[in-house]
Amino acid sequence: MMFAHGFGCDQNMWRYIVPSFEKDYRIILFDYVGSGGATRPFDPQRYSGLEGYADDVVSLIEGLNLQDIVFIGHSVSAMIGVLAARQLPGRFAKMVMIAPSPHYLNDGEYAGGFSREDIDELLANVEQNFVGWSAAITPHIMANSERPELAAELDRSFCRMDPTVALHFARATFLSDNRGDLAGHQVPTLVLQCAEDVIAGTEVGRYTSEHLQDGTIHYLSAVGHCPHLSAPEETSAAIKCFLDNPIHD
Amino acid sequence: MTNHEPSPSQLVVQRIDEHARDFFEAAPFGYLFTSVFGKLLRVNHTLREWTGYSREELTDGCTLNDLVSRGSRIYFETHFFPLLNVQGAIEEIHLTLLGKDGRRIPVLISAKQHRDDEDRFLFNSVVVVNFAHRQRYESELLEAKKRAESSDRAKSYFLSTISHEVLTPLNAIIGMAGLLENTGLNAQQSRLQTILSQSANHLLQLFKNILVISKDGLGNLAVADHPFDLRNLVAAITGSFRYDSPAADLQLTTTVDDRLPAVIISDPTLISQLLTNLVGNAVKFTPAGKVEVAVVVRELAPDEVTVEFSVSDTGIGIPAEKQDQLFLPFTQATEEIHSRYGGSGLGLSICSSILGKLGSQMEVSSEEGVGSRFSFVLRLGVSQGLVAPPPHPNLLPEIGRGRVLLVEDNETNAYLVSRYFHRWKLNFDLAPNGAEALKWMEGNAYDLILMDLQMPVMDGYLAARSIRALPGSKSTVPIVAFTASSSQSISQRMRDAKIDDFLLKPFDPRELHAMLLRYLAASPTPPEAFPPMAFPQLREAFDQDSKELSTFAVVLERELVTAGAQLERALSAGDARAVGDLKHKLKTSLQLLDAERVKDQLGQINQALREGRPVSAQQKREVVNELRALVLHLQQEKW
Repeated sequence: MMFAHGFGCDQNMWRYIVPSFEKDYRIILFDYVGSGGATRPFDPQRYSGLEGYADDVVSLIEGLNLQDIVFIGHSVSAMIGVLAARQLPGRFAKMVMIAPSPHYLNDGEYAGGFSREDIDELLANVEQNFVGWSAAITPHIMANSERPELAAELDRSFCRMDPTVALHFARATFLSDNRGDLAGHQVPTLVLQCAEDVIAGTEVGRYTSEHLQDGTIHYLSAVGHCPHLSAPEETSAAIKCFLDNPIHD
Repeated sequence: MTNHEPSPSQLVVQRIDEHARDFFEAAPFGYLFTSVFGKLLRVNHTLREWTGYSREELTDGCTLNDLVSRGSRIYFETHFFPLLNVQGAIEEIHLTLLGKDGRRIPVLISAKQHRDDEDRFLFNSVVVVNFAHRQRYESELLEAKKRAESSDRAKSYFLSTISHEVLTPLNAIIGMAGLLENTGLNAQQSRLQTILSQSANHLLQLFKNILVISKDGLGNLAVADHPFDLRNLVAAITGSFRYDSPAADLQLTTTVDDRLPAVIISDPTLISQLLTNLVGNAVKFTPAGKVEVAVVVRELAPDEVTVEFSVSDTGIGIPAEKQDQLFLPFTQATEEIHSRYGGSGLGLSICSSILGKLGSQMEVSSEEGVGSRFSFVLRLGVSQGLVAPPPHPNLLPEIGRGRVLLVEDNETNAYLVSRYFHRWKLNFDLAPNGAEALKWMEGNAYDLILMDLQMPVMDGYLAARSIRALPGSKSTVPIVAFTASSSQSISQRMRDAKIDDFLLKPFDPRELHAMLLRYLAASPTPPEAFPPMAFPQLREAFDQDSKELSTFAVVLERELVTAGAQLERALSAGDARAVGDLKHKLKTSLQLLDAERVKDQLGQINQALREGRPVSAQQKREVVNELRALVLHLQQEKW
């Protein structure tokens, strides 16, 4: 069972649901280039599109010689999974897409949810967040003297992103258009759709599952974009149900 | 602390509590509390004022996400929210809030999750810092940073581009100077040739330094493990400075410990770069007196030797207060140094980086006006029986096996490589670009492809990928790239194109030789088309008379070129008779040239055409290519 995190975080985001699967599956967690603890050198050309990230997933799968893979992809990793599966037909047994979107931009009839200006603003946010000198002005209300372990954890800093990579990854993620890739995806796939997800709305989730060859959709009551963090029990249960039942509806 | 003061009265406590609430409401920061799903539970006055919403509007089901602009929402959901949930707290995330009137408020948000004793989630506390006035400065700084970085990138790009432009002619100068050495020079000419050769090598050394610095530091530098003769290397380096000093009375001496093993295993290029920089400095800064290079064995084990390298001079020395700046790039001890002695200020910084890579460091002792001593200690491998490559390119042994396809657009470089190939009795074909190389591949089998990367029509990367996509064993031919790039290691791009190895331009003939041995040794297939001593029948027919042979070779060559053109026409017209005529006409020549393959191919095609059977495009191409190869071979043969 391979867990692929989305843009903005790292493999730590799976910590609340992985325990539910550890007994029955071999668990593969990884960080994409420039995310978390990854040390792989970044090649802007290679990672200018999602293909580069998919190539890395393929290398992992081949390197570890994985078969019968259950691929859990959050957000952009859903489409990275589609691209990786295309390169390795027959290796993926099932796939779960958590809050996927094949295209984030609005395009005619298709309502991806964002305009080009929105994405530019996101990129500006990402960039601003790596300007080191903002630190001095926030009052240190977070300093937590009675829980030093928390401070230590903050120091380690999860969801770390290399500034250059983060910008490239954001661009590759939010400007990609993988709608054309859905039809060729044959792996039985479950789309987990959250309520009130501003990143990947209900319409987008439905579009995704309908355009997949073997796609089903499950609506979670969890709100937001990261149900595996905000509602881990519900998310695990939905994944289990899909994995345990040969025919899911 | 005073023990006598009574505890504050109820009233004081009560008033303080009230005032604390005022602090909360009127603080210079936005304060808010949210539920597990982000619903706003309480918002202070400051934040209400910034956003223009009333208390009721905000706490009636509104979420923090609703206050965030659309672009910021993505970052909020993909980074802020996961991070808060994974680590329980988050500091200073930059987002944009949207006020009721559409106003955009840049803010820094810090948040913390609060849980009860059983670790159940209770609420989040959030601090919002209004960032508007700071943002302008930040944007300006960011802009300035970007400009600086892009100008730095442009410079690096410029350096790496110009490296290609400079290294190619430099390659030619060094190579030609090397070839010149063998042309029976008199003493004076030989001295001039030596200076030419060494100056070109110094120029190359300078370029290597610049290229290392212009890269992202030495992070990508791979340390090689080659057997070599350290004694020779040291002698060659000090020897190359003999004519460098403007001072006639400079004594340059070299002492090498007798116990130094004959063959060392390490990285000769890096050691050479270290010594060249140090000796170069010593010679430059010693107007009169002596420079002494010493190699002393410190410890000797069967498979390892610890060696101290030192370069001492009686030169101008370095002031004590400047000694700690010695290793900064582009820095020289004083401005005056540059105006008097020139130099890039790179040498020592490079040395220190290289030593870092080799697990060592530079020791300096120096006194102004007395002299300097630079030294470093390296642990080197000792070879047990491996033989170091011969010291001089001219002494490299013949290879005499295998067949190489050389793909190179630069005529000088192609000429230079082919001179060495001839000397080493190596069969090869020459293609001016990737597309031509693919044509050569069609009809011929090669043991190695040596390929330039930057070529017109089809570059080396694309050519390599196309070769890897060929059917059968042709796809697995080893490919060695010729690159003038400044990189010291195989690049991702080369790896992606499945290129096996690379040679840096300007190439060292010894490295080229070693590379050929490495790839041709594994497959000692005798060359198919041409035996080692080509054209024995022809040579026999002319009694080995080289003058006669070279005259007749021109005649044959012309005949074959004409025949080749006619054959192509005849084949595309499917003209059996014309092919038959050509076969007949070429019979004697092909016999003389031992060109059995062309003869067979022509025969088969002729037969097929006469019987009305189809001839494949592949067959046609093969025979034409074979004929072309024969012409080229004739042109390149030394009689």
